[in-house]
Amino acid sequence: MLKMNDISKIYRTDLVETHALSGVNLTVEEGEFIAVTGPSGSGKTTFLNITGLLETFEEGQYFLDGEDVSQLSDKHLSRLRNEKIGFIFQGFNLISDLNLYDNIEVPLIFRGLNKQIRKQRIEESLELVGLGSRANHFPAQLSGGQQQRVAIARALAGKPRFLLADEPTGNLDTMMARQVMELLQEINRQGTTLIMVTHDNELAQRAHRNIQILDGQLSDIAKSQLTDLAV
Amino acid sequence: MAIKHILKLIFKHKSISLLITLQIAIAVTIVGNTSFISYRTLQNWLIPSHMAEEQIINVYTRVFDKDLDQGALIERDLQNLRALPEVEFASYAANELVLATVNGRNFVHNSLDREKQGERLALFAQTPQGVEALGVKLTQGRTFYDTEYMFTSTGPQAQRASVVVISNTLAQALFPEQNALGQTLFLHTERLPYQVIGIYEDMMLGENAVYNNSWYHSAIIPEAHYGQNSQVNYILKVHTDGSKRTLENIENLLFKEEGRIVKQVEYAARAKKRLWDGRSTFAFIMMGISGIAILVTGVGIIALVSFSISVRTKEIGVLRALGASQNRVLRTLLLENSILAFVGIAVGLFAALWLNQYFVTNLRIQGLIVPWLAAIVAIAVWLLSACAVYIPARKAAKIAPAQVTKTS
Amino acid sequence: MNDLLHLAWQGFRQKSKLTSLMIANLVIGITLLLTMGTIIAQSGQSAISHKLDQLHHISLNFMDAEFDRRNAFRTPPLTYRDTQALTQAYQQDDIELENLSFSYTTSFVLDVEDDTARPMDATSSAVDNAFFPMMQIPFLYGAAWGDDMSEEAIIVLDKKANDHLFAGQNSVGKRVVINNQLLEVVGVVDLSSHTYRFQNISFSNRENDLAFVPLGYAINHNLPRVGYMPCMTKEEPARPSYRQSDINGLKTAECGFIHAWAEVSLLNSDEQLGNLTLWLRNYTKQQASQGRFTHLESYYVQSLRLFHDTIYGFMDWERVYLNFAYLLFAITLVNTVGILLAKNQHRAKLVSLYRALGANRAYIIQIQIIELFIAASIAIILGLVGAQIGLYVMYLLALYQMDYVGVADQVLKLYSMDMLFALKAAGAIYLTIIIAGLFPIIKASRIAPASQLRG
Repeated sequence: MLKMNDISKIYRTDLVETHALSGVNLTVEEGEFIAVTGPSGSGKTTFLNITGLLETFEEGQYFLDGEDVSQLSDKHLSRLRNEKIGFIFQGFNLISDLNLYDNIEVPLIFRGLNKQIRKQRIEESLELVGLGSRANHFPAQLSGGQQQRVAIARALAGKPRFLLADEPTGNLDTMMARQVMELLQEINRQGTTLIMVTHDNELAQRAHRNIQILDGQLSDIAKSQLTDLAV
Repeated sequence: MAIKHILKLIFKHKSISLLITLQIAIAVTIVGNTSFISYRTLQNWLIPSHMAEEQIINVYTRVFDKDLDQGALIERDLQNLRALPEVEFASYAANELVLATVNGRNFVHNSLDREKQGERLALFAQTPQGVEALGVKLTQGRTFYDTEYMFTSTGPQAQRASVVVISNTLAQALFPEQNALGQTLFLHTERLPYQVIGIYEDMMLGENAVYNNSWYHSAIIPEAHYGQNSQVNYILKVHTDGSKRTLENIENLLFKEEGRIVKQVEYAARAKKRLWDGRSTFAFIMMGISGIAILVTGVGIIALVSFSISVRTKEIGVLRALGASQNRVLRTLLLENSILAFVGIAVGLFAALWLNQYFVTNLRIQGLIVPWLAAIVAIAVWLLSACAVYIPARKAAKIAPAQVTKTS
Repeated sequence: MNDLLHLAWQGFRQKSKLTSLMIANLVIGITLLLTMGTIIAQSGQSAISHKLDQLHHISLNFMDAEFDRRNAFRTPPLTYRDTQALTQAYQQDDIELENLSFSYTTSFVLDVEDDTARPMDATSSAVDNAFFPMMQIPFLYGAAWGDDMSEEAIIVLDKKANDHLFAGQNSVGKRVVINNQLLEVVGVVDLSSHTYRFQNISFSNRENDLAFVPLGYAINHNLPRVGYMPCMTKEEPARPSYRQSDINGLKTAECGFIHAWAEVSLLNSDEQLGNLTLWLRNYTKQQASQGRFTHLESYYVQSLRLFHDTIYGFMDWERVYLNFAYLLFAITLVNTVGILLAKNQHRAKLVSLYRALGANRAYIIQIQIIELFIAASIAIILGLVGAQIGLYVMYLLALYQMDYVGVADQVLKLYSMDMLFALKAAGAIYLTIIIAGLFPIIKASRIAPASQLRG
């Protein structure tokens, strides 16, 4: 479903070139749950941005559902983000001036879905995350865990090919973090591919497959190694 | 985002939205009114005179020595003026100079019926060379024979001419049904008859006539009387376009005669400028104020929108991540502003109408409302606001979607 | 206080781009407002504006009953016979006034005996000698003529005429020629501060008289009458000859040409005016028996103040400009509020930190008001400079509009800054800016302590 060949990303300033990613190869299959870990500055965020089509890259190829996305225009990339990727961010990134219903509706409008389908999907996804009765609330009226569930609902409403989660529980306390994580796992069990970037090894252990980034390079590691690294 | 969401955002950001709307409303009020007021002035301004404005000269002199024989003086002056190398033609003129009516209001009638209102006109009472000095171009008939010119002092013994040449528009106004050539028309308060012997191409010649919207109504008669008062005036045609030196030469020449002063020697162009001076200055100042209003509003919108975008950088990043293309962001911001602009323009147009009403009733200002002009102002202000928004909006569209993954 | 100033200054310097934008925008608004405001304010000023309530124009309305005066500037001047009656009453102390002056507007060509200067057309006034002190006309050379010289061949020149005829030299004792007669110059005055020709209530602001001749002399030698000279309908046909030649006919005609100005004492003005009005009423009643004064308003006593107010009523265009200047100033205020909001957005963190560190709301408000005051001061100072330029531009436009008719010096006076007005206006502008700024300032002061410090 997702395939990266030799992807490199270089940040240039006047003085230095930083190789944020170098020669990344990755294949993700339908239905997988992948956790990407790595220390700060290892290239995690760059990997996330490239995977999420939020940033372009210099070298290599990236196939999404068999389509090469390396040379696409902003317009095309925007459409792909909208249709194929569901984002879940550490900071939730809800639009504070819109209520939950409207927040979820935004990407569906970008998609060009008609009003009835939008309504149906919004209600379904809010129901799924357990916030069906609060469509008219504003983000500020919810707890952090609830806000993240809204973000998940927003990601799911678009029926994306995969969810891209960036430290989804980073801003939450332990209890809420567990609830959110369980929700994500449940969603994955129902068939949605999940790629999660985190620095939390405990969370990473819940994934089917673990990938580590070190100095811009990717490597598959066994779960047992995670705890060692954490120490 | 849908309009629904935009409206919600507008209501959320009340103060900024209100400020932008208010600003547009005031700008429309100013610019709308200014255009109403300036429009008519400019309309007048643009009426072509069809004459050699830089070659025709008006000369105003005043004979203060009561013992001076004006008739003889005029003969001498004309002879001396014609001897100047620059001067092509020179004619004595009584009360009507080019775009400068010295005395009187003149009417022309096509019948002796006292009940019927005549046409206003510029009536040029000239000596030989008068027709040539004005530079009229005959389209029908002939000009005067030398024997037809009457030049006498004013009073009961004054001799009257019997023929007249008139402008094309006047001919049509007086005799709409038939050819004016050969017809009789009536001039002066006594309604004396004159036969039309020639018709010439329209020229804007009379000051009073212009003020009464009879731009092209004029007639020339070959009779000139002197001695009614101390004024002795001439119309000249020179072949030095707009030269100051020529004006000085004429003034110096005429000043040689004792007992008389030369009040003014000017090109018709200057008289024409004076014709519109008051109203055009008013219009220019109004346009200046409009310009400043547009500038300040434009800058204001740029500042306010930049601010509202800087507050929403993160929000825009989220939209980008959720699949909004750069174009969509740009469109959304322009749409958002257009909604504000639309409200502002609507409010502003109402305010403009109200203010216009106030000016017309309280301040004797003519400024009729011209609907299509209002529409142009509305579109222009909308375009201005769109341009002003475009600058910060383009910046906003460039906000990287990767923004969202930055931890704050 | 010092600390407040310091913090305010710091705040002022933050986001300097926004701050300069705010000031630039205020300067434009203030410039326009001060320019247009000054023009209107100057219209109410003249060299004798301190006598606004002391000088009164007297008119006896001899016109037909259906005469329509239209406005104060069209008040009929006195006829010759009414002038005689009023003079007599004044001389016999029937009416008590500080001063009474008569004049009419005339026109002649001023020439010198030799060929040293070209003759010039001079619209002038025929006046009595009470005119000069009453109108406070400043003499450069010489002085007004004495009481016994009212019929002598003498003349007082304005500086402009003196500059032209005598190259600005002291011409007292020299002679000029008008209408083939020789007149001796007894004085040279400078009318340049008299921005209005109020003597004949035309209130022209474009040019003033070029010379003054004694009233008695002017009438004896039949100097022509120019300007507004209303006649009863029955006299209409003779008007041209009354203007030019027929002075004897005019003396008995119902045609007004002599303007009378009365000066009342500052302390007794009500009494003196009452006295004058009473005389006018009795006079018109008594004359009514001869069939005169059939008009409902048989006399007018109008103060110089009233004429000044009437001028204001006629300044339609200038008032339109002023209205637009107010609107434009409103736009700049809107901008100011917007920019202040933007500035506050950028430093919400700072404010919340101050609050967390113990500053109360009043303190935050004080800092910001001082900061706004600094910005407003700079804007007003620059606006005053801008208004000087604006006035100059308006002056050039006014001259352009007047073509030949305007006398530059005189017009310039109407387009120059009046400091008292400028100070008052500046005060009002300060107040307006601060009031407009209150919204963002109070909004900023509501920021909860430390609310912006999380995350």
